Amino acid sequence: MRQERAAQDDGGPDDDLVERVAAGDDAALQLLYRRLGPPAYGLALRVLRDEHLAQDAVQEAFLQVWRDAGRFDPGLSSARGWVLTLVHRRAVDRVRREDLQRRKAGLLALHREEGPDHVAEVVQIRSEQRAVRAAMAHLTTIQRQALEMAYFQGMTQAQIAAELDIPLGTAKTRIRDAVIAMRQRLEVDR
Amino acid sequence: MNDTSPHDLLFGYVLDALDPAETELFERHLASCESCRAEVAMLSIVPQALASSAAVEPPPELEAAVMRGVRGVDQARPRPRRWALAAAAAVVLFAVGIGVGMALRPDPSTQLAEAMPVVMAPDAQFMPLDIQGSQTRLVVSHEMDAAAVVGDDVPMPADDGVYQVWLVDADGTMSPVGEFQPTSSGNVAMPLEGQVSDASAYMVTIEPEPGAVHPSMPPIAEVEMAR
Repeated sequence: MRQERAAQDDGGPDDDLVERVAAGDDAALQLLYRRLGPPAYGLALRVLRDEHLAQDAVQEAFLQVWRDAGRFDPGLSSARGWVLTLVHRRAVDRVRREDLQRRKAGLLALHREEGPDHVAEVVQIRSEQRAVRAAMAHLTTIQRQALEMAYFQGMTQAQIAAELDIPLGTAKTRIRDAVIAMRQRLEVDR
Repeated sequence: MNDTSPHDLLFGYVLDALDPAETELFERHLASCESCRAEVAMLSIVPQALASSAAVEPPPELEAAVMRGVRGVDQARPRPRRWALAAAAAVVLFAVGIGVGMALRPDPSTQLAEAMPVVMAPDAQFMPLDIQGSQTRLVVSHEMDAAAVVGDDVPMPADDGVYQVWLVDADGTMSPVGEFQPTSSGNVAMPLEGQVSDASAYMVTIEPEPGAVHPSMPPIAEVEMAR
């Protein structure tokens, strides 16, 4: 019966599901996973570049969703944003434990990814994904690089400054400008 | 050289690009800085969009692993949210008895009856009021133009003092809008006087005597109103 309920997904808004999860409803967690599994897994995979590590990160993040659902703060982000942040932090914690060698390999891979299509494994390309790409396309190369290094490679501001051999203040400014520009583009393209 | 101005960390925080010490520093700041909270909330669509752009169908076995992973795992006690606050308020109500609602002005049940509409207002915002590490909230309803203080783990003020809430207007003038002491179990449900539309901030001091007209102590907690 629980399976049926999950298959139809009549769970209402994500926020309601988180509230049900907080009350110990594991069917609500399952619905939440079915909704957010693809961005959660794709994000972890993008950061970690390893399917097994990505699965671990998603699993750990949903465990944290289960534990901390009662502490979700709707004033700070949507439920979707909160869950994806937990996934991202797990993935980033993990990738920061990896060595510099790997990070450098990631940087090289980044340049290859700027080509037309690296998304063979992406099953659905939603309009939202296209909007994000359109927004990214409007950023300067430096801003895109800042987002890539900070968000998708999980580097700290200090690591980015060291990697690019620029002052910390400059790295912070680039990140700030990139976030603001991205936010504005997303607003425009909405 | 290490720059540790919290606001300076905001954009790095939004992308999870801080080290653990910086993250902790910023989150502590975030709990009490309403303008940073508003800004983080506004910018949160950026990481969300980036994450969504990376979506990949997960392997089918991951769902079962996720569900297995939570089986039998205890959940954290929620922080006060609307329903939890309402429940905390209800505890106060039953503790003091509904029948005494006609009693004198400072009676807790009267205060509660006045605080509840704000707590339950559809547009109620719950803003952290960091009173000595408790999860106290300033509740604001712009529609009702009213505010209240609620909490269920408020420590007794030191040295037999009372908590005094001040409304700070646009000119920086501070007016007393309510004083309170928690019940023995730490519950507070307290309507505030004055209008939210007049407030640029609310502050809390611990005053040695009730009835203070001007603050005699530095604030222990503060919430800024977004303009």
